[in-house]
Amino acid sequence: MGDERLNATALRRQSRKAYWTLLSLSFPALALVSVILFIPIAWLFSLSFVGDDGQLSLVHYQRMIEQPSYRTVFSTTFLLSLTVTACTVAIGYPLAYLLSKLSSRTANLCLLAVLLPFWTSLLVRTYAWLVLLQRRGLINTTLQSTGLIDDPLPLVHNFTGAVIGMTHIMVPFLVLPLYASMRAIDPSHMRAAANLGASPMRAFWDVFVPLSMPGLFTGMSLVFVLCLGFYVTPALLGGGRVIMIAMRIDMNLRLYNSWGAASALGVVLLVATGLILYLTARLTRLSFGSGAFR
Amino acid sequence: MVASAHSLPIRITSVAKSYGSAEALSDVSLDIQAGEFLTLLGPSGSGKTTLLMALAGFVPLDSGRILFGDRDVTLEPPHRRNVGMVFQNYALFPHMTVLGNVAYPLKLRGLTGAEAAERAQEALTLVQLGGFGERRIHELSGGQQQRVALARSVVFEPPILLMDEPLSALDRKLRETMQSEIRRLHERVGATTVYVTHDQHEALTMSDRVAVLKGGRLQQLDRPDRLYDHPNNVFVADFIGHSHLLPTEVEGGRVYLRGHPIKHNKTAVPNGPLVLMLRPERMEILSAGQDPDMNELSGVVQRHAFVGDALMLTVCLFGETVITVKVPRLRGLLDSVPNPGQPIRLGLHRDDTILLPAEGDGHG
Repeated sequence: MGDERLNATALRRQSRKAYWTLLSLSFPALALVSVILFIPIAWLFSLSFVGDDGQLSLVHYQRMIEQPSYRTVFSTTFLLSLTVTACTVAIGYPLAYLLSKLSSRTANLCLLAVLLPFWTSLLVRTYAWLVLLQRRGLINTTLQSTGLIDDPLPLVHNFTGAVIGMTHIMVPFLVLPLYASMRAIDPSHMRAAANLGASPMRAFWDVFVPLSMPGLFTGMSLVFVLCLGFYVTPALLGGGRVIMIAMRIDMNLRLYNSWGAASALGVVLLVATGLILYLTARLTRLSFGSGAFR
Repeated sequence: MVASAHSLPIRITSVAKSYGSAEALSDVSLDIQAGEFLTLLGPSGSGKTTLLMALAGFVPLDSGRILFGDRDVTLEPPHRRNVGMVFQNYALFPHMTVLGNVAYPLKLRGLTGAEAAERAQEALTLVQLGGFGERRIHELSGGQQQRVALARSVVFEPPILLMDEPLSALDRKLRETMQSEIRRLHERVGATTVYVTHDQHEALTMSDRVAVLKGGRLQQLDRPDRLYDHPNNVFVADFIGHSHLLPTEVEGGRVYLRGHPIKHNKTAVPNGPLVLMLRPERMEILSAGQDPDMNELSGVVQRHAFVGDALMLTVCLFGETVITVKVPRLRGLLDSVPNPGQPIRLGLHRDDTILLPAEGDGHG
């Protein structure tokens, strides 16, 4: 078909060849990803449907619904993730806003400072918080010596401790996409709002905040998803009182040696994460159209 | 010029603004009448946009005063100035619909609901986008976005309207349509309009008056035809339209071009060097005889170039100065055009003989 046109077939073959050449460049990466990612996930998935007796069953999923301990794990995980996300937004949004108002030179320096914690290990940062927050830690002793409080505040080995530590670690994950999207906001939009009669505060709420939403949604979903699977920080700062899904998976493996139960939890976590990412993408698209965002 | 009841005059007095050592505006004074369409024209870096932004309140001045009517707005923030503005890139809000954009200034003025929607709809109808209210901004073409920006800037009936190169992003055909649309809109709403452009053609066709700026200084403020026919200085002569500037000799109150005396209408010839401005379309081909009001320039035709509506002749004057002469393609006129290589006698009427101070960009 179409061959009667001059050189049509040869030209089509040529463009197809270029396409395959480009595509073939990604084959090694694709192969690696399938070996270390897709195959294990499929294996995990299949394991979760095998009962303790080696038969095909839904027993692990059934247990998740029936056992109240699981319900606590789920609600703790979601509540903690939500709280941390909210705290991250409260700290990260003003920070990103400030950065977006600075000259790009200064802003880059400040961004470096925001990213500085990444240069030390997660474990070190978590233990540092332990030092600061514990009963005779820096914060409590300072507050007591100034007479602001009589008894030390319970800042660690509980929900609060986990929130503080996780928020600290998560702030950069929110700030980076948010800052990028704020930088991309055309300053003439704010000028237009002012020109039309909006006070700076009004222009901020009516124009700047809505235009920063795509970045905010991206950052929030990133933080939330990372929180869902968080292990080290809540384990150390929660002091065993805050059980997250990741810890429960660890328990299932080490204490009960039940790969099936651990896999089932992993699958639930994966599905929940995928669902959240999908919903965020939908939400962003719904409120801002299919792109064309200057 | 239809001055509507609420359009305001603008008085700009000695405004100055510099960025570091670069002077963006220096001692610019300008009176703009109520309801007038005034264009700020100049090359990039001339300060025209800075002046417009100062009117809108986005550029704080170093010194000077700006009055809207009797109100001194020099220190007023942008959101209290109540002027409409069309931005170069339109600056429409992508998270609002077309109607939302146009109704936004009304909302800020406490007008909501059916009345706001009705007025926004009216403004959209005015720019021929009546049925586009529910569209998203990114669904519109460049020309349509331009119209929405216009509607948004006039919907709250501002007494003053500012436009920052609003047509620069459009292709030529559309630009010409929008030029007449903006003029029509101006006549409908009657607001005092200050329009910024670097396109002299746009400035000449649209404006009541044009202010030519260069290097932060006002060069000339005049009607388009006066600007074209009687430029103040070499810069304006060169910037507006095509012109050739030939150096002349001044001796004993008389002006000579290559030794030939020049007839002109200047009552007093200033001391110092003068240049003669030649417009390609203001010269005619002389046949036999002598007209006492004509200056005669003789030369040799080098080339013919066909440009559609006219024939452009490249002529070498006095064996050294190359100029172009525009001959309209009228029957009869073309027969008298000498072929390349042949001599030609050109006539310049004394009324069209413009002599300008050779140096400087002062306020001649």
